[in-house]
Amino acid sequence: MVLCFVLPWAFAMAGPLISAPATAEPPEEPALTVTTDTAEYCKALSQRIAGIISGAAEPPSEEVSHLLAEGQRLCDDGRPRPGIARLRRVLLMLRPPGE
Amino acid sequence: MSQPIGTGSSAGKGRDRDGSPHMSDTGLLRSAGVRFGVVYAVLLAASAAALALFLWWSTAGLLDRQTEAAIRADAQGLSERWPQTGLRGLILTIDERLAGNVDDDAIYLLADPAMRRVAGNLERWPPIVAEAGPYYELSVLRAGIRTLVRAHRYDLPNGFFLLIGRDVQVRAQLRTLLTDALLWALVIVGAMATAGALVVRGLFRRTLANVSATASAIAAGDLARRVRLSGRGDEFDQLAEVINDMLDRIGRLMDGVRQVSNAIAHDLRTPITRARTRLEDASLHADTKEALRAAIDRATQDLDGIASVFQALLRISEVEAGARRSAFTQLDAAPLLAEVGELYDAVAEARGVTLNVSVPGALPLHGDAPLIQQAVANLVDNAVKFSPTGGTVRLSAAVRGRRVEIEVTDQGPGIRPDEHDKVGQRFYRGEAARSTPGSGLGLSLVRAVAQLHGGELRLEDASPGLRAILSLPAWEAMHG
Amino acid sequence: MRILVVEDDSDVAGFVVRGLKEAGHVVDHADNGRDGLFMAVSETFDAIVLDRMLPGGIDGLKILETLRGQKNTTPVLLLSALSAVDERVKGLKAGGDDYLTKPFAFAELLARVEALARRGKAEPTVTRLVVEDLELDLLSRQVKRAGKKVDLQPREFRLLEYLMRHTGQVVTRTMLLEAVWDYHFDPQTNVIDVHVSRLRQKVDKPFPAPLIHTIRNAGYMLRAEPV
Repeated sequence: MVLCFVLPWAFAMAGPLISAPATAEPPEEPALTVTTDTAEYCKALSQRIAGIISGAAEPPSEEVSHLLAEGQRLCDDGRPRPGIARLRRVLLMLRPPGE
Repeated sequence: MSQPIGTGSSAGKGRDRDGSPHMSDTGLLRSAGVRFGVVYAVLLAASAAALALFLWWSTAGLLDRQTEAAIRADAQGLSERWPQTGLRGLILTIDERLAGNVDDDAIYLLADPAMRRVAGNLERWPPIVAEAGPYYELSVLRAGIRTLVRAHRYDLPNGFFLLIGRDVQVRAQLRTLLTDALLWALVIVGAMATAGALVVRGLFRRTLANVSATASAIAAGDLARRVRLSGRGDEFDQLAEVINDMLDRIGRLMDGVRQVSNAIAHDLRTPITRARTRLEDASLHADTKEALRAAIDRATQDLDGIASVFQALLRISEVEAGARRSAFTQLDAAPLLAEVGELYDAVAEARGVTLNVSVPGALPLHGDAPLIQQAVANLVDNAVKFSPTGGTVRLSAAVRGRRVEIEVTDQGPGIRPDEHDKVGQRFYRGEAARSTPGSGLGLSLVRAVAQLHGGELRLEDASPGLRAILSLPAWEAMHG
Repeated sequence: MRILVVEDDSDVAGFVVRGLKEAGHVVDHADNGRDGLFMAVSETFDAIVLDRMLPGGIDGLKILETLRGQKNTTPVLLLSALSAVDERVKGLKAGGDDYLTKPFAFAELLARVEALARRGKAEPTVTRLVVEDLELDLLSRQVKRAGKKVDLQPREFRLLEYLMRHTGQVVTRTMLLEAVWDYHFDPQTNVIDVHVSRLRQKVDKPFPAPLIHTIRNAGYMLRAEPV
């Protein structure tokens, strides 16, 4: 009996919380796509990495090679975001210290 | 005997677990226990909601501030580059940053004055971002999944527009988490409130049932029953004590009535029998008119004596029932005592007893003057009656603390300590008094008057003799 | 004196009427409220003895209120079995002049009725009371008998004053207690007797003729002729 009293009120309270407080996107608009979550961007990053490796004095470390292979594999497997994340890590590791 | 009124169970209609029938749902709304439970629930829910809202604004606010700080830092960095490297350099920098964005949360968009995309990772300019001031929340698709982004527009000097944003999906997840938690909390609150209401109602019902059952038992004739105390000393116990006090008083009053009936049966039977015997004797044996007349006179006296005993009994009952309390006024007892002293002065002198009256200036009391006067007169009467020739009776009074104490001391045989309580009972005559005239109602009235005024009668051994102390609350004590 | 007795109990009424007649008064009797009121209104009496509980729809208090409402100031003595002080106050407030509870001694009733009847007659305010050779000066509070000053305490003075104001009338112990000591209860011992005795010592004993007489089974009376 008390639940009947309390729950409708609870839902009423929860409603405003669920909707976003700041200026919200109207739902009818077609959504914007982020272009750096695609397999194309994955390829672009791979090329960039290949360029840096070929220009480097030493061959890449095992960790770098491993991450690079993993990232490319993920991208090919249709999971671009995790793959891109690993490729970005590779780029960071390839960056000369101090930059 | 029927059960006390039940307050209904939230478990549903029909009968409670203990088999007592309860009221319909409308009755539930009237239940005090349920009212308490609802108040409790509302308070609890309000507290939980307040806490949740506070948490929400603290954490979400913090996240938002962090996001904005990151965007601002980003914009700062880019704006420093811009004058050095120009548009081309800006594009390159944006690409660099995207490539090195290990956290995968940066959103950039550089657009020309026609709002066409030049660089960045957003497919086109979001139409909603119309101003350069506020922070916008954008819904974007990342690898097919809708995500929330918080972004800010910067206007470049050459007419280009730069949008910098951050992925804030974490915050949206936090919001969902808190909302779920709040709903669950309210469910728990509802359950606790129900439990609380049941507990309170059970508590009320137990106490009220206790009182109600005791009252029913007493009404049915079992006068010794009292309400049980839980021993916690809480408000329910206090209520029980008050009710028990009232029951004690009722018991005492009823005892008084019973005593009177017994007393009438026992002690009045004697003078009634005596009068009857005398009349019968005279009727059978008196042979002269004078003898008859004498017998009739004696019988009349006996009947007068009985009538005055009845009168005194009625008076005591009247006083004990508290009927006279409404006639209380503020009075000074000093002149009353002086008058009593004067009244018995002659009697004392006639018996060779010295009556010593010592009364201070003023004795402020709140009460019934004639009653107090009669009480004191009874005490003085007794004292004079029981004093030996040549002895002294002392009537004195003093204000001691918050009481007015009126003392009558005599040097007679006194009353044995073990009889001190009994002498207040009607018709009781102490050992020493059995040989003197009187009906034994004097002290009983004094005690009744003392109690009516909220005071007491104390009897002490004056070695030799008796000291009777009538102790009454002084006027300041009642209205200080 | 003409006295009206309104009492429904035939034994008590017979007893009272007979007693009053023997005392030399002219007595009328009514045994219910209606007749009582009718008689009280239509004729003049020196005093009325009125029972509170009466049959016939009109009780004693109502009769009393009606009489007083008509500005009838005949002195009324109320009789009642209700002895509570509140009842007494109620009776006196309704216009009664005196209140006697049952059972009562006839001597008490007689003394009070006579006192009431005499009081009813307009009394000029006096400053001196004189009976035979006894003089009581109310202004200087001095008492003289046969020219000699008698030393009295204030209470004794008041006692003597009351007796002198009711010269020739029976004054009961209860009346004295009420009037001189304002004491409304029945003390068990004979306090009044002792006080009167002390008064006698001062006022009667040193002089040849006693003025204060004891009336057996009734009370006292002050007058020159012996009883």
